[in-house]
Amino acid sequence: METTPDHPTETLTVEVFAPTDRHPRRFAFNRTETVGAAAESAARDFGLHPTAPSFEVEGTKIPLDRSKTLADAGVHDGEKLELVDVGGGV
Amino acid sequence: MTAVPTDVSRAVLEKEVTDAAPWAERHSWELKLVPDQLVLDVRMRHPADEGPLLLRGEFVGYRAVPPLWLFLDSQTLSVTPHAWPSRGAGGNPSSILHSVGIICAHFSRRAYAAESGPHDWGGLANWAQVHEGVHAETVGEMLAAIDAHLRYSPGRMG
Repeated sequence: METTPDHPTETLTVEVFAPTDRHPRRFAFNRTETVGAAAESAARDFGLHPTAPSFEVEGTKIPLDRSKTLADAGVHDGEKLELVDVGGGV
Repeated sequence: MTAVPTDVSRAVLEKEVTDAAPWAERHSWELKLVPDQLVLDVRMRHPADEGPLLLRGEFVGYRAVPPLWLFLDSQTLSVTPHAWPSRGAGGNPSSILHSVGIICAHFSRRAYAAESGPHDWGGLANWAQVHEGVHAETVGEMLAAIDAHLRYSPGRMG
């Protein structure tokens, strides 16, 4: 698909780091997928079972809102993301 | 304590710490494993006051039972209010850092009734099956979970 700034491709490719893996993995997600759903999918691929998976853009230490779409959360193509469980305490 | 051969716990611990090392490096956390003692010392800075913190994990019986995680005074190696980060008000709906001496999560031995903690959760041996609050089954996940709560800590317990 030809892309322009006004018509980006529907998918974006990101690199995801998990705390259990020495190497990041590459994922292609639909821009309209929620952060929570995408993070859940990535966690499963890593064999993890977090309660409330989310992403942080590398270096920010700020978890993305799980209810937002990747696009609305500001995730860009090629972004490096850290998988994080934002589940609470007990 | 569940009888897991030390060699078995040590092998698992060494692998999980090796796997967690890149995460620790990305987050500027220093890991020091003492394999023969099944002890992992983790040093980091408090995000609010930037003072040093020492988090010690003791892995006797691991993985049949969860580790014992404690923030310690780096000089006396004892649990003190000043060594323990206070709970944060923002971010997570509740913190795993709400009592001195207890990281209140399923992957923390001290959280269990068998260790005088507040939770039963089916006993220590059931720890990996508990899904209440943040969930972590390996050293890397545990460190990331503690980091996710520590970052909201406004200071220390005393």
